[in-house]
Amino acid sequence: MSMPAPRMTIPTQRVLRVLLENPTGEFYGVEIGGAAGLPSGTVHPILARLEGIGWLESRWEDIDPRIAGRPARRYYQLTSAGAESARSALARAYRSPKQTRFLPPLPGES
Amino acid sequence: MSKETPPVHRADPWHPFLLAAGAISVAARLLPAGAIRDRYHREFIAELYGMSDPAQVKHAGQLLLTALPLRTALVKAGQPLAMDTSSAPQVPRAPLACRLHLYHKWRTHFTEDGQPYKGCAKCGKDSPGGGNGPLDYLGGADG
Repeated sequence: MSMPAPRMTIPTQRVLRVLLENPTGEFYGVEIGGAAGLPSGTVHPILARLEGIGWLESRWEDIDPRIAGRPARRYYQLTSAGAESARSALARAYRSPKQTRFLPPLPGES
Repeated sequence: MSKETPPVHRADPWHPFLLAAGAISVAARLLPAGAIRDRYHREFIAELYGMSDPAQVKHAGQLLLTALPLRTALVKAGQPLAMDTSSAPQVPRAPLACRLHLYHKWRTHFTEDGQPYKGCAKCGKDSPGGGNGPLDYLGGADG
């Protein structure tokens, strides 16, 4: 059963594109924002929406803060169904020439 | 692995890390109370580590600006993210009138051994015997 797609805003598309570059990888918020070219503190609403509909799952980093010298981070990963839904949603997303002007090219595009 | 602990200058209340942490605390307060708030507070603080001082302040400012959209996203999602066993369990909040001690809905209850006592039907507070205070004219006790 397909999950309802979130509104495919440009930032949401960027975040999904970053996550789909490594569908099994785990990333924390700042990492995702940096890779997506978005301000680092602005991705959390997007991640929360995606996690809420089951496209993402998250977990605490498994470290000892005393040894690592920092608190554990929250890592996000695409679910298998979420990856499939994300690919479909990105493929369907409407992109006007005005909207795509600032988007990096998709893999395979020049 | 090099340590990423930022040099927190406890004597300097305007140190960037403390400013950023303060902004994050305010941002977290805008989120739904309970496990959700705890989780995001921890998550936001953890993100500061490894950033330069200016980046920490900028990041925290952006988190503050997006706290309300984040709250909206969490509420719309039905807060499934609250099921985080590493955080404190969510406690239902008493009605505002109870929390402000303006009005309690006193009802007679009974202890296990059958002794009657008065308690608020909304928040569970035991009646001190002095009524409801400013809104006493509304009554509420069942006599």
